Amino acid sequence: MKNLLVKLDLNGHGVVNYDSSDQKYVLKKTYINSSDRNNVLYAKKAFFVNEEDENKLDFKLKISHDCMLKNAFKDEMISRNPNIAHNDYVLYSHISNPIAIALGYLFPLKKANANTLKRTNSIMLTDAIQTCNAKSFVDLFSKSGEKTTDDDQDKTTKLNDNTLYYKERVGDIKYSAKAMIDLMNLQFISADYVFDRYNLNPDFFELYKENLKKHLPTFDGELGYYQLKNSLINIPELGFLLSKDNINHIVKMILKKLLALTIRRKDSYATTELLKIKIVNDTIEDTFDDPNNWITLKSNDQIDALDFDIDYFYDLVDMEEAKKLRINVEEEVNKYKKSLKDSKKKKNE
Amino acid sequence: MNKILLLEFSNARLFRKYNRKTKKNIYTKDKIFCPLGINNINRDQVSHFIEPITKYQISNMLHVLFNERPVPTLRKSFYTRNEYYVNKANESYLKINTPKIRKFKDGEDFYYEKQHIKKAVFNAWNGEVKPDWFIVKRYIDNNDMFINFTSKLNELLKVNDVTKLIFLDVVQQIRELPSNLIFELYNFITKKMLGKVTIAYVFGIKNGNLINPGFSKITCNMNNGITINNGIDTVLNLDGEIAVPVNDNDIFNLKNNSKGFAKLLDGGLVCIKSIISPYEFNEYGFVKVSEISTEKTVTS
Repeated sequence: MKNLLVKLDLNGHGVVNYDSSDQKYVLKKTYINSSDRNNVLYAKKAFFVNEEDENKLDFKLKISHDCMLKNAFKDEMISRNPNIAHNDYVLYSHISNPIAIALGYLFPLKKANANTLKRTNSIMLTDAIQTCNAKSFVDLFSKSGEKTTDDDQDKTTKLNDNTLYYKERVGDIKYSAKAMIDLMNLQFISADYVFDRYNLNPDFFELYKENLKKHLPTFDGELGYYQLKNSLINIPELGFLLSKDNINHIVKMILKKLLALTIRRKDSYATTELLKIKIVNDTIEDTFDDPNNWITLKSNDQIDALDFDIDYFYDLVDMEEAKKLRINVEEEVNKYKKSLKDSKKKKNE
Repeated sequence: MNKILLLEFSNARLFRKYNRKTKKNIYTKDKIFCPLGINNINRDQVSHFIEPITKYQISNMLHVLFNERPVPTLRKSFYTRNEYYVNKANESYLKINTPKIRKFKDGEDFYYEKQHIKKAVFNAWNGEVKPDWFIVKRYIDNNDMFINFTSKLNELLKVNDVTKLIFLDVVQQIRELPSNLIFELYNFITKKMLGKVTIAYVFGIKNGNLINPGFSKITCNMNNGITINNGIDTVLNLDGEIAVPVNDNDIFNLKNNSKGFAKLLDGGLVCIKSIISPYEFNEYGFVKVSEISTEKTVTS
C-alpha cells in the first residue's frame, strides 16, 4: 500500500465554523444582503463564480480542515501550548505521542545550538464543502449581560456595548471532505537537519524511545542512516523507521478518530455520517474519481479488522558508507556555519 | 511529450504580508527557519513572490510527486534541484479556480480567510511562563555557576538540596528571609554571577530591596525564549488544476516509485486526477507556468 485515500461525509445542523466580518466586502456580490456592520458572524464559505453571471458569486458553506482535525483529536492532544518546549521531558513525551507523529508539530527554539523541531502533518485533509441545497440566512440575536455605556468608561473612549448582533444560520446540512494519509511521512522519523525536517534531537533518542514504547509497546527501532529509494540525491538521512505494526496502529487510530468526528457548538453540530477508504497500490488507477474498490467503514471493529501491507520508501544504508557519503554535506555545513560567524563578526565591528 | 498528467490541488494555503501598492513586506513576528536553526531570519527581511504559485513551487511539488527531495526556495539547502523536473515545471500549465473577488481601485485580489494558523502572527501571545529549575539552569548556562548558586541557596535556606523543592516555593521562602540575608543573596548574584545578574529580578530583588518578582527576565532571554507560533490571522486558500506533460518513463516512475500525491504551498493536497492525451487537453483558463511572473516583494 502506497497511501490511503479517505472520503468523509458529514451531516449536521447549523453553522459550526465562522469567519471574520471581512466577508461583508465579498458577500455584496452574492444573494445574501450583507451590511457594513461589524457585529455579524458569517459562516466560513467556499466562493466560486456563478456559472450564468460572471459578475455574481455563489458560495457553499464549509468547515475548515483545521476545525475538523482539532475536534477529531482534541481529547488526545496533550498540548497546544509551545511552553512545553521549556522542559525536555514534557517536550519529548509530547512529540513521541502517536498523535503528534501523525499531526506534526513545530517548536522553534531560540536557545543557542538548538535546532527547531518540526514535523509535517501526515493527514492531508481538505475543507468539508457543502453538498446539499441548504440555504443560509442572517438572523438577529441578542446577548444577555450588563451593558457598558459611555458613563461607565473613561472619557477618552466612546464605545457603547451592543447587545444585539447578527449571525448566519442554516438548517440541516451535509458536507463532504477528502483526505489522504501520507505513509511516506508517517513511516520515517528524521533526526537530521540536512533535509530541513529535524523531528527530534538524536541526543534525546533514548528518552524519545522510552516514551514511544508506552504508546507502541512493540516499537524497537534504532537510529540509522536511510536513503530515499530511487532518489538521485545520494545523501543518507539520520532517523528511524516505524515497523508495519506500528504504522498500522497509527493509521487505524486516525481512521477511528475521523469516524468519531463530532463538532459541537451551543446551537449547532456536525458529525461523520460515512467514512470510506481506498487502498492505493497503483497511483494512477486508484484515484479519488475512480468509483471502484472503496471500503465503507461503519465501526471500530471493522477498522480493527483491517490489515495494511505498507510499502517502505526508504532503504537502510551501512553506517560506514553513510559517513563517506555525508562527508561533502558535513563540509558544506561547516563552511555555512563559518560564513554565518564571519558575517556576525563583521556586523559587530 | 506523449501525454498530459492532470493534477488537482485544494486548500493550498499562503501566508503572506505585504502592501499591495508599494509591494513592501509588512513586519510580522514570524521567522523563516534556517535548517541548522542558527540563522533564523524575520519573514519581512526576505523577498517573496508576488504571484501565489510560481515555477519554483510547482517544481518542488513535482520533485515530491516523482519521489525526489524538494529544495527550499527561501532557505539554505545542501543539495540542488533536479533540472529535469525544473524544466517539466516550466512546461506545465496552471489554473487557479479560486476567484479574485476583492475589488480595489487599482485591481483585484483574492479573499483572505481568517483562520487559526501556526505562524508567529502579530497578535500571537502566550501566558506568563512560571520558571522551574530547567529554565533556571538553561538561563545560567554554566554548570559551575549553577552549582555555586544552588549551594548559596542551600546555605541561606538551610536545606541539603534546594533543587528538590519547587523553584517558585524557593522564591517565596527567599522573600520571607530577614533583609540582611536577602542582601547577602543580592551581593552574591551581583559579584559572583556576572552576566546573569537579572536572576535577582526573579526573586524580586532590586538594589537589595524587595519588588514584585519578574519572571520574564529569564523566561524570555535567548536561552529560554520560545517563538509563539500560534495565532489567528488571514490566509489565502487556493484550489485549482495543474497539467504536466509526461512521457512513458514518467508514467512508469509514477506507478512504481511515487506515493501518488504531493503538497503545494502550505498543506495543499495535490492528487492525480487522470492521464489524458494532448488532444483532449483544453487550455482554457490555464496559464503556462514559465510565463508566470517571478516578481518579488521589497524587503522592509
